[in-house]
Amino acid sequence: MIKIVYFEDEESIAALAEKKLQKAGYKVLLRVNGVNGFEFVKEEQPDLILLDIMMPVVDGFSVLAAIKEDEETASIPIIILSALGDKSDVIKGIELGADDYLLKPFHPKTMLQRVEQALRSAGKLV
Amino acid sequence: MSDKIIVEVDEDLESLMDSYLAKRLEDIQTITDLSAEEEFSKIQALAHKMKGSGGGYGLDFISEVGLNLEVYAKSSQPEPIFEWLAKLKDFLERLEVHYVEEDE
Repeated sequence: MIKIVYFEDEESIAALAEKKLQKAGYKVLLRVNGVNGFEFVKEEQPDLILLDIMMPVVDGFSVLAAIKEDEETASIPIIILSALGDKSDVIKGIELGADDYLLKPFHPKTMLQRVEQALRSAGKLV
Repeated sequence: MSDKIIVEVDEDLESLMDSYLAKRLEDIQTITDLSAEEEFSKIQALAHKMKGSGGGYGLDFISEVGLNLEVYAKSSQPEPIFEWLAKLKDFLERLEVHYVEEDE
């Protein structure tokens, strides 16, 4: 089963995404903040990461940078899910190595399409 | 009596919706209190979450409210914040959600 780690501090968005991802057949591991996020990803070795940016204590950009700097986790595709819509935020996310940037609010179907697309690009889905 | 606002929402979200709407009602009180205390950065953070979640639940108006609250909190303007909270309260009172099956 394809495993997805989702970093999201907003409970209502996490619940919505988790429900839809599980229905689509994915295993979802939720993290409510970025604390020890890199260590968690390194341990779990997920097939894909969904990443919020504005999280307490450790933000998504820091988690993203740490994951992309380590050779054991650098190839894991990452989709940023954020309500930060400024061009500079999107550019920063892509420059740090994110594969995609989906702006909140998103339609669950769009999220599933982006997830599928990223997994296909990474060769995790045929 | 005001007209109902009927919104069709994916039936998969039915089990999550009551909790989601209850939290938005809580937000109204919380943001009202924060406005009185001029805690605009805290309002901005709450509004940002509201902006990011509403549309996902099929409730685009809630995202619109969040967007406006975020803008006015950023510029520390309590009056329009109260106006948008009143609009949100009215929306929640008139809202009637109809659950529909969505195409996969």
